[in-house]
Amino acid sequence: MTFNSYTFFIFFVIILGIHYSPISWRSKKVSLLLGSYLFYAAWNPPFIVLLWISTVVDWFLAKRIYAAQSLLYRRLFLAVSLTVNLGMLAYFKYGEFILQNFIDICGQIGIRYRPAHFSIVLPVGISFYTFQTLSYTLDVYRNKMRPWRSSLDFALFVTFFPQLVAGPIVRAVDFLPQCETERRANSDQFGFGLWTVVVGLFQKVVLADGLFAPIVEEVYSNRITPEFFTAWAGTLAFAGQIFCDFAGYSNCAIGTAMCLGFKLPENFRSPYAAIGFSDFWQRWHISLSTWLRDYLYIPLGGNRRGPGRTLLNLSITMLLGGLWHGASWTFVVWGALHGFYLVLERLLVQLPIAKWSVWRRQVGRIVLMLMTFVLVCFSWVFFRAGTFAQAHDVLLAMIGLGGSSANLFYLAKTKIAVSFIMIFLLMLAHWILASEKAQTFTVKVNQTPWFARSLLLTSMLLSIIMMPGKDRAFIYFQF
Amino acid sequence: MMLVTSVTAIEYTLRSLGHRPSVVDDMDLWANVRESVPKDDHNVVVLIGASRIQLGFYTQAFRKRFPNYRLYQLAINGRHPKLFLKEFADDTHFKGILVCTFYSDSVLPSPYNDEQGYIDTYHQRTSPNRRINRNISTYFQERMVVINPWVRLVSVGQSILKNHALPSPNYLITLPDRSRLYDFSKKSKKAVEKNRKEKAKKVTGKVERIPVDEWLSKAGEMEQYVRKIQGRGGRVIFLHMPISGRLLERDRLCAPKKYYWDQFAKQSSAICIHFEDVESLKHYECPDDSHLDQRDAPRFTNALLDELVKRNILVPPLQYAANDKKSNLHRIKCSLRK
Repeated sequence: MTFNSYTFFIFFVIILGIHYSPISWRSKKVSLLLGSYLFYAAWNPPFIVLLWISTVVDWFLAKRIYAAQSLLYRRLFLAVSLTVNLGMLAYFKYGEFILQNFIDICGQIGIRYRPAHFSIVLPVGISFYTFQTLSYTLDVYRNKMRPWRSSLDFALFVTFFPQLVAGPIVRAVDFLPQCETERRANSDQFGFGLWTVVVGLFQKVVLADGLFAPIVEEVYSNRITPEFFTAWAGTLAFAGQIFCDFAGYSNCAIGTAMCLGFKLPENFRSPYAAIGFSDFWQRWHISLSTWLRDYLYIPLGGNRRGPGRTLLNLSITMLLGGLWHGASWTFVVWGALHGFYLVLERLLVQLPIAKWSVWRRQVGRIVLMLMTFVLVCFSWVFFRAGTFAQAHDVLLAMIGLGGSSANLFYLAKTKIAVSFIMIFLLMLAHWILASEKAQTFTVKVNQTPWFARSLLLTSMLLSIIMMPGKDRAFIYFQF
Repeated sequence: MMLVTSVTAIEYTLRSLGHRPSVVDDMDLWANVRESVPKDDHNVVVLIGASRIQLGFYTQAFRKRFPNYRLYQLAINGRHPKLFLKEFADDTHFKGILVCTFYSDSVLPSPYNDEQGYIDTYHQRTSPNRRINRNISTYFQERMVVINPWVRLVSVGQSILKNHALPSPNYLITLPDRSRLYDFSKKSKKAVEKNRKEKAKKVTGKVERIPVDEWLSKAGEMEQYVRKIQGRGGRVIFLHMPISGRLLERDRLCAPKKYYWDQFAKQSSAICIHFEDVESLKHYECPDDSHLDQRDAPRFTNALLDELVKRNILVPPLQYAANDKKSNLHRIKCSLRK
C-alpha cells in the first residue's frame, strides 16, 4: 500500500476512526499494530513472517543481553541477533548478488559453475526495519536503554506503518517512550500532519513522478549515448526525482504519524544547500547517516584513532552505506565515491586555502554549495545507471567528452529547460530554507497567513489530482 | 471548499469543451480483466491482439446479441499476441473461444517488449490491494474528466505554451472493460495523415526482409498453443482486422496474402478469418489506414459476429436455449430409460 493510493486513503480513514474512538489506549495500540500488518501485507502477505521473526528474536535477545552476567554471553546474544537480522537481509537482498559474483569469480579462474536458477523476491522495506530493530538490541547491549516492558509496544515500534517500508529509521529510545501514554494530536498538530502529507504527496506525484521521472527515464532508459546537455538534464532531473521521491515519502510518513499523535524524526533538511559532504550527510537521509555514524563509524573507532584510521573508517562506513542501498556494484561505487569526497574534504580543510575569508562570505558559500551539488550529481550517475557502461557514457558526456553530435539535443529542448529550471528552483528553495536555520518547507509555510496557506494547499491538491500518469513505486522501496 | 469549487469548475469547463472521461489502460487493469475470465466455461469469448481489435470490436454490440456468452477484451495496443496465446494455452482451465488478431508483422520482435510484464502482473499479484486500488481508480476515471491523463497538468501547460489553448478533446476513449473508441472526427486531418505515413513504413517495412518460409515457420510456432486449447474443447480464431489505403498496399506488396496468410491458414488447425475473404468485412475504410472509426466499429462487429455464427463458432441465444432445452430433454429421456 503506498501513500499515493486510494486504498491507503480508505485505510488511513479507518485507522484514524479507531484511533480517535473512545476505546482504551491498549486497544488503540493493538489496532495500530494490526493495521500495520495489514499495510505491510498489501505487498506480499507471507513476508509478514519476516517481521514477526525480527520482532520476536530481538525482543527476547535484548532481554537476554540485559540479564546476562558475563560479557561473553552478552556478546553471544548480540551475535545471534546480528546473525538473524543481517542473515535475513543478506539472503533476501544480497543472495542473488553474492551468487552472481561467485559465478563470475569461478569463471575468471576457469571453473564453469552453473547453479540451478532461482530468484528471490525482495521483501519491501527489509533494510529499514532490520536497521530499526538492530538499533534496539545494540542500544540494550551498550547499556543505552533497558529492555522495554511491553511486547506490544515493541511490536508496534518494529511495525508502525508510517515508517515501516521506507523510513525514517526510528530509534527505540525515541519511539518506545511515546507508547507509554495515549497519543492524540490536537487540532493544530492534526492540521499540520495533514499539511505535511499533502506536501509529501505533491513532491512525489507532481514533482518526482510528473516532472522529473519522464526526463530521467528518457535519458537513462535509452540506448542512445547522450550528449552534454542531455546527460546533464537527465542527471539533474534524477537529482530532483530522488530528492522529491524520498523526501516526499518521509513527509507522508511524518505527517501520518503526526495525525496519530506520534513524532518521527526529520529525514531531510534542505540537502542541496549543503556546503561540503559532511554537511550534505547531515541533511540527506539523516536517520540513515546518524544510524551509520552511531552503530558503525563510532564502533569502528570513529575519529579517536588518528587521522589515517579516521579516513579509513569514513570510507568503510560510506562503502557499506552504499551497499545498504542495493545489491549492485554501482551502489558500492556510489558509496565509495561519497567516502572519497568525505576523505578529500577532511584533507582539504587542513590546507591554508580553506581558511580564506572568502569562503565565509555569501559568494564563497554559493560557490561551495554549487561545487558540492555538482559532485553529488556525478555520484547520482552511479546510483541511477543500470550498468557501469551506461554510467561511463553519461559521465563522459557530462564532462563534454562523450556522446555523438548526431544526438545533440536528443532530449527535447523544453525538457532540458524544465530540468535545469526546476533544479535551480529546488536549490534556491533549499538555500533560502537553509539560511533560516533548521527551517523546513512545511514549518515555513505553516507560519504564513491562513488564506495564503489555503491557496497553496488547494493548488497542491489540484496539481496532485491533475497529475495522473504511470504508477511509479517510491524509489526507496527497492532498498 | 476551494478545492471542490476548483475541481467542479475545471470539470465543467473541460466537459463543455468536448472532453470525455476515459479509463487509464495499464497492466493492473489488464490483470483485473484477465482475472475475471471464468474457469472451465465454454461460453467465454476472449479477445487478444493489438489496437485494431481493441478499437474495432464493439463489445456492447456483442453483449447485446450474445447474452449467453461472456466477453473479455484483453488486446493491448501495439503488443504481439504470441505470449498471450501461450498464456491461455498454459491455463488448463481456459476452455472458451479465443479470438486472436494476427498480421504479417506479428511474427516480428515486439516493439514494446513488455508482454511478459502484463502476464507477470496477473500471475504475481499476491495481495488484493492492487486489484482494489485499480477498481477504485477505474470508478473515478470513468466518471471524471479532470483525472484523465489527456488533460494532465503537464499536457495542459505544454498545450497552452505551444498552441495558446487548452488541449483539444480526446479522440480516444478507453472503457472500463478495456475496449476503446476512436473518434477520428476529433483528430486533426494533419495528424491523421502523419500517422498514416509513419504506420505504413513502420509496420510493413521489416516484414519484406523475412523470407516466406521463415515467416511461415515463425507463425507456425503458435500451432502448439492452438492445439493445446482446442484439445480441451476450446476454440481459436485467427483474425486479420481490416486495414486500408497505403498500409494495405504495402502489406500486399511486402507480404502477399497468397503466400503468407493463405499458407498460414492452410497449416493452422485454428479457424482463420481474413477481412478480404469475407464480403461483409472487406469494405471498411480506416481513417488512419490501420484502425476503424468508432462509428464503423458496431457495424463491423455485427458483420464479424454473423460470420462467426455462420461458421458455428458462436451460437445465438435463442438457438442456444433451444439446444439447451433439447439436451435437457435428451438427458431426462435417458434417465427415464435407465
